[in-house]
Amino acid sequence: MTDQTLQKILLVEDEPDIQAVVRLSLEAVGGFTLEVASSGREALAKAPMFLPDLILLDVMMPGMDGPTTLGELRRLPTVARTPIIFMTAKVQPAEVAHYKELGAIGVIHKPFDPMALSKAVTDIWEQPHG
Amino acid sequence: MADQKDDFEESFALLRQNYLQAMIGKIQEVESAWNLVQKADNPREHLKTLYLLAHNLSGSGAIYGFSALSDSAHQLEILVKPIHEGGGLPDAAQAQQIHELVGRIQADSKVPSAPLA
Repeated sequence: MTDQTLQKILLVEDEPDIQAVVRLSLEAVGGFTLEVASSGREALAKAPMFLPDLILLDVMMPGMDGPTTLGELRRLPTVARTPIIFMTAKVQPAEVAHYKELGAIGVIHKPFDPMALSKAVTDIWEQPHG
Repeated sequence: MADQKDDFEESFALLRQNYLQAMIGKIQEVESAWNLVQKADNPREHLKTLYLLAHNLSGSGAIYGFSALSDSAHQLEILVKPIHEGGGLPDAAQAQQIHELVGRIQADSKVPSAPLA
């Protein structure tokens, strides 16, 4: 269990239909403050200003994909240690293990239940992480 | 908690309605991309578009209550991905499979299932 309160979440997701439903889920159901970046590059610009407690990161995006974005975020001193959860349809055990090796604290499976998303995020957050 | 769920469901119903209205256009884009793969001068670019469209429908469809469409789009995505990444073009058998999946996506868009919420 982490001592830090989860309040600010940065969503990195290129698909507007998914952005909308994640915003509804995390703001209306979870009561979190959400900022959205539509690409990895936009995330690199927004993260140091927004200083999220947590980053939700889509794996497959045009241009800079999720794993590459994670690597670049780790080079930014103010967000280098910010916990990251990947969101992806690719959740075979080997794939999940790979994401965790990259430094993600968890993985949320797409498609997800919008009403249950906040709890899924909170459950991962409350597991011990660095 | 009940009020929160009611508010969520009302807002989600609006999002779903918007998704449904936009879906017709998205499926036309899938059909158009596939037609251009077969006919255009730069088919690989259109194959990439087809792959990205399939990926997006695969990811969003089931969330908004179109599980069958999501499954068909996912099958299209995994069929097209290695062809796109290999820099090639579909052979005759693959083209037939893509053609059938594009048709199935169109049919699935008319059959909503219950949303995941």
